[in-house]
Amino acid sequence: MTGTDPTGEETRPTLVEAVRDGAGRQVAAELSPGAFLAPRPLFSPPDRVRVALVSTRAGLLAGDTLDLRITVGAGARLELVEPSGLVAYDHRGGASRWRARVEIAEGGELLWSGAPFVIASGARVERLTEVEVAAGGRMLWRDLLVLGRSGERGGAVRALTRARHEGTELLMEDLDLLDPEQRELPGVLGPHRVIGSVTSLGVRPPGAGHPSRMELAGPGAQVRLLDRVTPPVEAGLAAVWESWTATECRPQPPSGSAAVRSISTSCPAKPS
Amino acid sequence: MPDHENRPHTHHAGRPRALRLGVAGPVGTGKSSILAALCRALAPELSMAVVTNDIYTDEDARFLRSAGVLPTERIRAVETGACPHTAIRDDVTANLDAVEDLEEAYGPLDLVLVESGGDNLTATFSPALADAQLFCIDVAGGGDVARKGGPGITGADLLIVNKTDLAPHVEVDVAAMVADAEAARDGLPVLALSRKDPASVAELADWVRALLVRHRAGVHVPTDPGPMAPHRHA
Amino acid sequence: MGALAALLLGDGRLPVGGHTYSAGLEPAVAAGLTRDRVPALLRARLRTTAVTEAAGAVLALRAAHRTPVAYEPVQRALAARMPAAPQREVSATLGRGVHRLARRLAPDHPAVTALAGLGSRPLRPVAFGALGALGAVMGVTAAELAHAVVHDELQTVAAAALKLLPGDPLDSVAWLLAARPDAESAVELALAVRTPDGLPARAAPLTEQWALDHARRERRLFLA
Repeated sequence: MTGTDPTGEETRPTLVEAVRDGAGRQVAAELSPGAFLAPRPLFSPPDRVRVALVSTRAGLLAGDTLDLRITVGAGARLELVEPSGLVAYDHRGGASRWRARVEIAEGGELLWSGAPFVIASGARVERLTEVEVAAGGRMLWRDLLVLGRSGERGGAVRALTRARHEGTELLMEDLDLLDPEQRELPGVLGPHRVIGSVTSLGVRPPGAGHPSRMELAGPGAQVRLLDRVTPPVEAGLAAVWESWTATECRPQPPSGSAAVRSISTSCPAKPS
Repeated sequence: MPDHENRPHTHHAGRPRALRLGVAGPVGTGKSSILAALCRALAPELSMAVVTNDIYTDEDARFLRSAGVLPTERIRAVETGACPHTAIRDDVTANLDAVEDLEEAYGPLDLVLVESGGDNLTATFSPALADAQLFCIDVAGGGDVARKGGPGITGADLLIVNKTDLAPHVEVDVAAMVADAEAARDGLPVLALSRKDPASVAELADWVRALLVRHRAGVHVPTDPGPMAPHRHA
Repeated sequence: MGALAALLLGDGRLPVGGHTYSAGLEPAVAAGLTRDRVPALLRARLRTTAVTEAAGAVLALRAAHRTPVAYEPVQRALAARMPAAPQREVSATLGRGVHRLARRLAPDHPAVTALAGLGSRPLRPVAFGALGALGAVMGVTAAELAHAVVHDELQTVAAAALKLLPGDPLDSVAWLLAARPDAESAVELALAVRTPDGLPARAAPLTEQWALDHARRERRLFLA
């Protein structure tokens, strides 16, 4: 699974796969480090596999490709934690790529609370998130894009999201923020430079109270928050995340998944 | 060409579709009160719904809902894009949608009242929307309103001279105003109405009942009160 | 018939309920948009939602010319690109008016009967595509249809501006002419689309938030 792009830059993908084994245990079947992120098992309660995506390189520069492939087997539950955010630095003319491919099998669940992705001035990032959710599966995804470090107008990013549920398009989005003039137009981002969202794909979480909640046409919902600064968005997303991970909107844990820990006790401690 | 849903006498489950009665007239002449009075008088015997048109979506709908004369969900407000007269005449799409939705949700209905947004003397309903229409003026508008004419005054199925109880206060001679109106209407009916005069309200309800009988018998023919005079958009 | 039909499709006086719609202007004004920023709003829409609208109409037009007529793929593709429920509801309301007109003009045409076969009310671009496909009555080319959809979007904002941000109506003609390069590129993008999964999905996050806010508002002039 190692590859190189035409310029010779390393593009090895990070691979994470969680399965529910024959005995009903939640098991990390694959944890392979990629060029940018290393998956590290964390202490996991019996109902899930918890994995931290740990940065092994400083951040994205021109020519870089960060590739991430996440697989959740039937009835498995994977929680991804990002201990630190990601910065795309000034590319000095080039471009970088960030790609994630997520496949969730029947009844599988992925909880992915992404850390901030900062697009510094001078960066140019093509981001693609592809998600396939099978029947009964679900992905809960927190995403936070920040245009520019403090005081910057921010670089260029185009974030494509292609999410399918049972093979049917569920959420297709081309968030084209490449040109600062265009993205600052009224109705696009206006004065905002922080774009955060919590998205539920495959399940429409109960409750409807949030003023930014969007009910997708298929099974799913999204709360998107925009602001000039990060803290209010982070706080708002945390509240939505909490409410959407409340027990009543989770698929029931599979029966017979007796409290067996699938990952050795040598896991690193739970990050803060 | 056929247009089944809008044909006045299309039978739905063995009965004609609801009679659509428009209520038009200038601002402040008491259209909403007339709707409320009709609901009070007729809702016990007929299955009814109301559609309101307003400059701002739902002012009149809120008035009617708070009057408690019909279940609130049977009162719908439509957006008119600041052109209430367009919504009842030039392009009745939003109103047809609302009427159809009410029929679908609560049908079969007997009577749907459609209130025009308060406009001027020239706004009347298209027969594509309303099978019949009331036009409402009031004594407070002055005794000579009826003489000024306009398509609603001369051609509506029923002209209402409203708030007759106020006549002494505004020095209007109701009998003369009704006579002027009758002269302008070439035999079409005129009703002097006051919500404080139960007999006049009963007369209005009877007129609607008789109209409904003609509608169900297929003998009522919707007529257009006539072209609008030139007007300015709001 | 094509040239005349294309003009009809883009005419705001077409009685399909367009006067109740401000193409996002009223929600934008409620959020603080001022008259001097209307041209910027037009640019934003021509780069985002209007491309999806026009491309959806073009795909529906092409679907209407095939046998059997199947609008489901384009209807679903449009819905997956409108995350805010009020956007889809408004599109379905506007589509309903267009559908009513199509039914009146050619009730038995396969392009029209297929609209009723959709599981949900046709979204506006789908209904526009069907209407534009009514050969003898209303037949238009894909380019004419895309132009009509884009023109309608611009005129809708401009007409609503006369109610919401009053000013000299002649100004709005100048706005539309100034928007021509963006309008032409929106049309080009729309015409380049071949399949529903290639339907442009350019997002306008603030527009989505404004649509949610507008749906909750009680005193409003326009549907959206």
